[in-house]
Amino acid sequence: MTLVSAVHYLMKFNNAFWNGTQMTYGDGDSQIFIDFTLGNDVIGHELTHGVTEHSAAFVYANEPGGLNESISDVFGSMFRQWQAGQDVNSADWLIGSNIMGPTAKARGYTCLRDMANPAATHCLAPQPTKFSQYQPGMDPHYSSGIPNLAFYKACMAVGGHSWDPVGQIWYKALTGFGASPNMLMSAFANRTRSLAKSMYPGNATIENAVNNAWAAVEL
Amino acid sequence: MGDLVIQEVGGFAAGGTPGAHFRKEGRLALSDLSPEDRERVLAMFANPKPVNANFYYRITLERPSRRQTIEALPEAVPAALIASVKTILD
Repeated sequence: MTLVSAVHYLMKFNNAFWNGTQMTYGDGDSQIFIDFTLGNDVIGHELTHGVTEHSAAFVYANEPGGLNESISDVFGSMFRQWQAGQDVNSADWLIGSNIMGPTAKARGYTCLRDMANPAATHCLAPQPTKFSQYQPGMDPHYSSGIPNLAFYKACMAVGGHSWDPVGQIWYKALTGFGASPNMLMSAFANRTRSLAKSMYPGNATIENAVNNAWAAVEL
Repeated sequence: MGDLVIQEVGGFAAGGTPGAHFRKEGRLALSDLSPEDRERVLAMFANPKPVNANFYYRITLERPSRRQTIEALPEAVPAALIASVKTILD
């Protein structure tokens, strides 16, 4: 399929998005944000929305919305780490760190979101860290902190590169089962638990890492 | 005639979430829109539809007698209204 990206969208547009058929990137206002195409995690994030749309098709509301946004942060971060040749310990797990403008930086903000510590105050948009904090109707870009933290914890427990094996489990969970538009976070968690067993049979490290990661966020 | 308050919702840099240190919003008098844009906006309020999108606008029409809020995709919103949106850092 053809992948379409529009750049220089509007004037000083402080965002990037997937509109259902293409990616769109703004140049930022040069104060709070700079050119959104400068973030390889931004590009990975938006591209992944397209993958999600054509696979699990999570809707942008409630728990499936949070999964949708998390999946994009997860693969955006993995792409960033892969391009830099980083392992899970050398990665910073920050989302949007390359597009922070001088005004945001001057106020001490280093990122939009932090997958390792979603509630961190050094990010522009802190997020919840446990499912008990989730409420129906929550903005998906907020609730995504819960599954983001689970992915981070699973990767750190396994070590090595985020894209293998944990990333492989997440990718299969997203693309291996057809559309699940209203999937709950607990169902996705259990799917990754099952995949950890079936994809890496007998590997207790991977199985425990995935299970414990979700348990840590109360899923 | 009323005022329009527009909020940007979603996208990679989604602001306005609980605890977020930035939000994106704008305000424009309905009378500041061209007649064509005004008609387009009022038609959206007359026939609101929910959106299921990664990125959209939430628009509130404030009138003395009532307040109504709708959601709209970018392509449905007049450029002049979108242009009023500013990113506000805490």
